[in-house]
Amino acid sequence: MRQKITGGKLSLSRTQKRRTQALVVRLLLIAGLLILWEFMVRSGRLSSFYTSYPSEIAADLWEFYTSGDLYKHASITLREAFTGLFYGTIIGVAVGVVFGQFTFLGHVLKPIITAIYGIPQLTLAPVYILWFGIGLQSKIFLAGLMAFFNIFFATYGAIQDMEPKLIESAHLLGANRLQTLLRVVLPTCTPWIMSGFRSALGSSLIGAIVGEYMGAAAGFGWMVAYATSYFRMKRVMSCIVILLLVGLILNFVLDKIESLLLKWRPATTLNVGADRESA
Amino acid sequence: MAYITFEHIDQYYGSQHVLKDLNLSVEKGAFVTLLGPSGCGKSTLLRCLAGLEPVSHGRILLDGEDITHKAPRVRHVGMIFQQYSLFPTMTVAGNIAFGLKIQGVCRSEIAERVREVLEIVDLKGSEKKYPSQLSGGEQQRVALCRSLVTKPKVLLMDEPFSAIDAKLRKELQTRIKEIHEQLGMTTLFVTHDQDEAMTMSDTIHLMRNGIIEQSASPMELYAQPKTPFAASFMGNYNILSAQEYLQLTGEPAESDSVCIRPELITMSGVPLSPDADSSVAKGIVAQRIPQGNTILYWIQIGDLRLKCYLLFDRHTQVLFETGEEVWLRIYRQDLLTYSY
Repeated sequence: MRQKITGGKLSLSRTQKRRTQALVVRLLLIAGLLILWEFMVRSGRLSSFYTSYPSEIAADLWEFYTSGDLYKHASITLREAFTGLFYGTIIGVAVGVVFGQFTFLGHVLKPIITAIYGIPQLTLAPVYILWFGIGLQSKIFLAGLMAFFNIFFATYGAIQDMEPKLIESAHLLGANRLQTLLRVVLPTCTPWIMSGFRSALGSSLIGAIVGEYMGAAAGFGWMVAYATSYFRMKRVMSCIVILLLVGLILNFVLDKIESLLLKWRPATTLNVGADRESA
Repeated sequence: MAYITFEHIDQYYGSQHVLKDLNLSVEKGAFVTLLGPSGCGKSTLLRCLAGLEPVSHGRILLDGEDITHKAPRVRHVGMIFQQYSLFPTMTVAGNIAFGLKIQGVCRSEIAERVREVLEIVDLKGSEKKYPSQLSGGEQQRVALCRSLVTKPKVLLMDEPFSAIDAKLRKELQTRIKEIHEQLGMTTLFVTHDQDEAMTMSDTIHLMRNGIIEQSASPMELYAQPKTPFAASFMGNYNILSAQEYLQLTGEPAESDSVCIRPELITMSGVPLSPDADSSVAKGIVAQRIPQGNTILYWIQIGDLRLKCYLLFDRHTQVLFETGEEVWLRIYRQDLLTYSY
């Protein structure tokens, strides 16, 4: 028993050490690239007209923030993306569950949904703007639709792949259909739904920004299009940096939620024997 | 009055007739095994009782109540599957408490009953573990707890030890037998392993092609199989046609089929003579297979192959080598004969 506990601590500290090493290497790599970028522009090897450079982008970010524009545009884009994500997730899970429950319906409608998913949404964005106007609704619809596909396919696939004996066990223990769905099916499908949600998060942001490109008066998509038209590359880069940070933060939050929800799932690695090698 | 009754059960999978006018009754508190080869319909019968398969024709009575068309969740039947089927998202305690929560049992009683069943299966202290943190044997014990804790009318076990290694399987067989004796719960056990059936059952129902070939106690089924199939499945008998028996012993058979238990054949390295009670055959050892406490010899006699078991005793046992000439004595009183 003591051996087991000691082994656990050892492997935990080894994991922490490896994580710290990875973080340090990652930060050094980013810093190196930024320094190289700055040097290349300042030494005239790259034109700031096309790429801007880190110190100019940092100054623009500060201006963007202090002017209040950052908050204004970020709140619009994120509201569109998150509202779309919310509806896309709810509807995606619901439709996945309904198709899983009523298999005939799934057989009939899934190919149609797959066909619609196959159409690049970029080509349909102008149509949605025509339908829902230039305001938030068209972007929310686009973001929601893109999130829906990810969540629906993840949920439906998870239900189809589910071990039938789990459902049989729940019924034999007295659970009705709703109890089985809420207590057994959905929790068991969580890893797949979470994976779909991670993709949906990215897709909903893309949906909102693409919608703003096509027709809007505010938001990051609009800002990027506007800045590009005036050759303000530093502002384009600022927007990209912000979106990058938003993506990082959201992924960090998702990681935390995932580790909380999926603590029952054993961690798997393809790197067999890695611990032994590094020991 | 029987506790469980299957009346004229027919079950079809498409055009395949899986259960054929099957009748069976089980007494309350009995440990009954459905034994048979793959595809004989034993698991289907179990699933029909659980309500997981609809019955094409016939009636199932449990404790005097017709449950043929009732939903699984109201049958009060516990079932253990081959692959454990624990809810992966729930801890051991969560899995065991699931049925009680559905029944609306209060928290304090749930905690008490979970503790009780975990004690029965020696898993106290594992309450907070997830199924992925348990071994196969531990998972199967949790599955047993999950069924026992709801106090079902009948416990169904569908090849529960198939995925467990031989040593652990024997331990679990003993443990389940002890629990059955302790709780007296009516149990229907499905297996294709005759040793497992012999170890655990009060009664064995040997199934073949959707019918019950023979129902008997383990000893009776082993010693007095009613059909050549029962003889081959239960006792690993040598089954000979009348023609083959004549070829083997030089004596005509009085039936269509003759069965000889492999462990009742006497083997000798020196020539034997037939007498009034026995006949003798000469053969060559074709194969010697050690099986722990016994040795299986395949003996070639002309174009016939006979199996013989000898107890392995390293002090007194003469080990016959492959290719060695041996003489077999077969006692007439040990022969089982079948006419069609």
